[in-house]
Amino acid sequence: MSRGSGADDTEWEALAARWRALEEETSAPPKLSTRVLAVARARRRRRRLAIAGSLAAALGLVATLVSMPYGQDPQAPDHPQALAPGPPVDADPCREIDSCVTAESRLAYLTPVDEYVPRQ
Amino acid sequence: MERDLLAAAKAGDEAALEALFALHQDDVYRFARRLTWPDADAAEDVSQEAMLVALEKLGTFRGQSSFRTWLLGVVVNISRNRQRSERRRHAREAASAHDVDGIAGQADASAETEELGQIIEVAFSRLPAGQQEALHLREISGLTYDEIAVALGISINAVKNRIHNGRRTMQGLISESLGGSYGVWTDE
Repeated sequence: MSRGSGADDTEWEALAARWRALEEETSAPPKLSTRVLAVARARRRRRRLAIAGSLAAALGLVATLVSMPYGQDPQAPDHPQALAPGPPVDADPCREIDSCVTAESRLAYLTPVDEYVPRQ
Repeated sequence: MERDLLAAAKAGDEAALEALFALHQDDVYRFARRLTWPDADAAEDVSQEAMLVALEKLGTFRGQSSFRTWLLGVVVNISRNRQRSERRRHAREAASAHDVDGIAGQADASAETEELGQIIEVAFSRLPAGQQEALHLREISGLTYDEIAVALGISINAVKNRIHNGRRTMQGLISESLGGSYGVWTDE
């Protein structure tokens, strides 16, 4: 005997009510929204690092090309640049991006102090 | 209240953004949980990724639908992208088939709540993705047909068809799992 759609609808409503009750027991992991914001901050920081890294590499390349006499290889063992010690990273506390000498200090300047909340 | 939170969040207020997400995180997670069942880690990843995408694209939200509708639509997109991974899909199908066999053999007319929950989960997991999305948004998230159409980017008629077919399929699967005694618990 075929059943009417009314019976089906009634059965479905009963099923849906049970289903909703079961779903109500499921809740998001604690602090999911807090973690989302922490991850967003971490991603923003990585993007800034990547951009700063590209910028620093480009600036370094330009500086090298400008300062290098034609035909002279700064990697050569007897080249003055290879013999001179580089500035220590900590000795370059730049206060503006234009005053940063090393790539590391430029990155440090561009990177905000941040924290990452690990998954619980 | 939500309108104020949204305005503040768009202006860059992180506390407002966190409060806005906190309002909807259970809805988002439940929906993601169903769409990625049985992988709980995937549900968490999808929920998190959906909120991150929403955060990035918040400026493009014009308020023409509710924020909740928009956010659940993002969950659908993230979940669909994830499902394109063949490996995950195969793993899920294998797990689903295994569970159906086991539950069908165990279930009886006096199914406990936990068993019923498993039966519903399995039946839902066997629906086509489009029916899952529409049915969950309707029955669990409580969206209207219009809102579901916006969230899924389909016509209202398509929404109605998916919901209708999804209901019938789920009813059939559950009845089958319970050995044809589907009606015994509808009077509770």
